Amino acid sequence: MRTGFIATYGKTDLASAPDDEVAVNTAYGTLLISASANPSHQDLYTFEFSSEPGNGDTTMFRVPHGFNYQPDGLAMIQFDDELGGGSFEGQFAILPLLQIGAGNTTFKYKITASYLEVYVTVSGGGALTLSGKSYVFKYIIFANSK
Amino acid sequence: MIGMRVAQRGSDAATSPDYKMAFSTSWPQLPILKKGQFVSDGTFQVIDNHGLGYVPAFMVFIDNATPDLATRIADGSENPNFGMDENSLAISSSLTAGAKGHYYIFALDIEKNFTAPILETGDAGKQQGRTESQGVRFTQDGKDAASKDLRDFSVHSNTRPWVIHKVSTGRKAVGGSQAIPIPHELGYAPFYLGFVKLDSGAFPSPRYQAINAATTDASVLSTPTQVTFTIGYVGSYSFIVLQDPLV
Repeated sequence: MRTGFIATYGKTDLASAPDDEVAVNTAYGTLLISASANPSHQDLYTFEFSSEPGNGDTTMFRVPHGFNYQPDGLAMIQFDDELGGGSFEGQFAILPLLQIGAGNTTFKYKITASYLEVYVTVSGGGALTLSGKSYVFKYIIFANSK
Repeated sequence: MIGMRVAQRGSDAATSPDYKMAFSTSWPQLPILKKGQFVSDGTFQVIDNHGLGYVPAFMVFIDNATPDLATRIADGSENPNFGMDENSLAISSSLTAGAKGHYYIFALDIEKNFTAPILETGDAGKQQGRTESQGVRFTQDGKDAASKDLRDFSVHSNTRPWVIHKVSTGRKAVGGSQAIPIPHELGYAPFYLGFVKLDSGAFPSPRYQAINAATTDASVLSTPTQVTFTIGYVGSYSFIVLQDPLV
């Protein structure tokens, strides 16, 4: 017997539906999105490098999430012609991205108890030119956590 | 119309477009069947005996990532060490001993192709005018509906669900680097969850590993028309293409 609130997709029987036919079941949770930035909604999150990070330097932007715990989340970056080579220009990839380009630049993100932070570390001589360039990110912050 | 739709405050549930809804049973989501935590001891470990009889979608997050012991999704070097099959989720012996993290197992069979309609998107008003006591919320079993902690809820109209657009499966049968397109019609570059079961991998028998973040052996890129998966190895794959959350 099932208890709680259950809703299934389409005409699927509430009493006998397998789990993958259930739209919501209060016996378990779902991923709840509390914040996001999505280019599809003209809600871009851009980050511009104001100076050229030196070898070993880290620079970042951060988004406050408003929880007093570490929620889960994802971030994507859009390649320009320099980050991924001309063939990847305009395409998005989920972070972290390690060793991009000849300079071994890394784009990573982390979630602390206060922020989702996307940060960039340049190593290997800083072969990429980042100063004055803007990068577009998408991110999702869930309410869920470990 | 069959099913249930819950409109945002001030909108008609019968006639309003998707982006005015807080919830709809027409939206296929990723229900969380199980979640748990792990600590790698540097050996092969089964960390969850789910026993579902199908291969479910999953996500793994690392909780002691450097710096600051932060949380992030498993990266390209870690993903090959988490393997899922019809019965369990396991860690390979190659994962660094002491790595801590947590995982979600979702009620979605990643070996079954599926395509859902594309949701209308638009300006939903960003929750304008809503107060704490307005909207709809379904708590999880045993939780208080008055809770201020969003983790206690299965549905809460101050949040948005992560809605599935499609599940696309296939097999790369020949060795050598190959770019495999996963076409979609969303019109924007979507988030995705990728999985690959290599014929010869890090586990005693083949298991699906996540491939959302790039590795030196594989990459995944997202555009407004397709997700492109490039890999050199032979194996089966599955990609879940997610719709952007409604504003």
